[in-house]
Amino acid sequence: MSEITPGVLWAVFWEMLGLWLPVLIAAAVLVTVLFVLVLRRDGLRFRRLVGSQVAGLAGGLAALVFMWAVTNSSPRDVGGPVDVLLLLGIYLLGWGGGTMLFYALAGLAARRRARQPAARPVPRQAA
Amino acid sequence: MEDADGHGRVRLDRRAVLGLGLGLGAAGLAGWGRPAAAQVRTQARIVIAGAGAAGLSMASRLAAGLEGAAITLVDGRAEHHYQPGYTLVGAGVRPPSYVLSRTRDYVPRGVTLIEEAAAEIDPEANTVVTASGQRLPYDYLVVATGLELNYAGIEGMDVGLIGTNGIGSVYAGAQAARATYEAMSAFADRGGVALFGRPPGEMKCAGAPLKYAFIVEDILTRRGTRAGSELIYHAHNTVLFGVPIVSERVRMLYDQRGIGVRYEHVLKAVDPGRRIATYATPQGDVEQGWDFIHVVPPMRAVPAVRNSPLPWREGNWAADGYLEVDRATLRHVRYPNVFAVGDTAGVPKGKTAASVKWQVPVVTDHLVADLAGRQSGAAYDGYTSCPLITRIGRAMLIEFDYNDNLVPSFPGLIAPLEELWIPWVMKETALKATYVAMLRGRA
Repeated sequence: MSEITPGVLWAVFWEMLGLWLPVLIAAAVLVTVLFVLVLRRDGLRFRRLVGSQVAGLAGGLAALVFMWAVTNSSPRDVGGPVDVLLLLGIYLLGWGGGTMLFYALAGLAARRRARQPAARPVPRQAA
Repeated sequence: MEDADGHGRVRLDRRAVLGLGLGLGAAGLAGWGRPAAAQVRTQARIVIAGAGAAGLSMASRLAAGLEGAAITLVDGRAEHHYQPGYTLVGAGVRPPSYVLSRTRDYVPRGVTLIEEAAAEIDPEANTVVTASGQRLPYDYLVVATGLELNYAGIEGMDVGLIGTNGIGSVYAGAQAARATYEAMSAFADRGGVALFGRPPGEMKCAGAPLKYAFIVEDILTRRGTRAGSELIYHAHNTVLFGVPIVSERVRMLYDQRGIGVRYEHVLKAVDPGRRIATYATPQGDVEQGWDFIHVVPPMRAVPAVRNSPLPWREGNWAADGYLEVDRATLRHVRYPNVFAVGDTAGVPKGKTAASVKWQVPVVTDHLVADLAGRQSGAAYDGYTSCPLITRIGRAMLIEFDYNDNLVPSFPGLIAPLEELWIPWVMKETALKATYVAMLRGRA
């Protein structure tokens, strides 16, 4: 490229994705905001984070499968170190995004559970 | 290379405005990194002959850089073809619709499109005459008429034969590229002898004939018919590619992949009924049978240019009618108010969309500088680029200049002579988007 400026990148991504570009950016912003809000409200919950990271592994895999599908390629096409870096980058993006998404969802679900009234114990009946 | 016009404005169309409406700051992003500059006021009449990649990109850049100019695009073809996608259609990984769109969709506001071919160019009278006889006087002319595929230059060959008798040719358009895939796919199911090659003279995307041989070899392998097949590439001279280091690399890869090479073989005739190709060699004519043949026609400037005073009068590009322009400024040597951009320019390299991307800012800067009464120092160094597909899923990102130097965009990161996944990903995802952004003057 003769010049790679943010303006050129924006134009290229716009042509590549069309209206999906603002949708994807909005989704990324939404997930990040939710993640930060849940983090600030509840603090860092270790069990929830580990669970989200494990679930995020699927997000990384999904990102790779998506990339292979849209580019008509497969894992066998990785040919050099830069390809491994690209592979890792895509996986980390999927994993990181997935982790944040699952963490935020888990936080929201926990709050909803906390708001629901506790179930009343059922009295035992004599036989 | 510096953005030659230095203006860096990115006009916002309805889609971008919608992006703005979504609160994403498109306008601010679009202006990043490139300082805005005032438009040059002028009443100059600028005719751009040809509304392909070069013509449309020129129109966008000039419309952004000039205020009040009468800019007219002249082209008889209503369809726009994304030609870098032809090999992907020919490989069966993209449909013909992938490369087709409408020229009108890229014409910038304020630019007039005349949907007729330029039939005559008279640089003495500063006039272009269209196919219907309409006379268009100009102060500046940009010739971006592309080139002509001269299938008739091969005896027995005709565009209508593509897709029949095992004949393919991805150059002749979207449907021809698809027909090529179908012929190649039928061949790949059973295997046999496949012939490839390129014509003598200048041609657009000289990597495509090499790529297609790689692609066919890959598809034969995937379908399990490679062992019973023979692939032969016919080079018109003693090398496989004009850049020596790339030629050597392709020779090594062809050797590894078992693709045979015959040098100094020029396809001069085909006999579709008998499936016999005749090649001219220094030792005389040689016949070779085929089960599949990828025909690449000789190429030359279009008649309106060939029949005008604009071509070189001697040297390598005289016979094929390419414009006699300075290789750095792309300004005509004898008619200083005439420029050439894209395939029709008589320069050593640069018949690719990537070349257009580099040439357009240079020509824009010189033209705008003329109108502003200043000098331009912008120069085109012959840069061109070819994601040389070596199989479906891998390519080599080859970039070079007039002097056969490799000029990688990502030195130390993407090795130009290495078969990698990342150039393939770039070709599949970003190249067309960059190309369209270029047509709109934004990349």
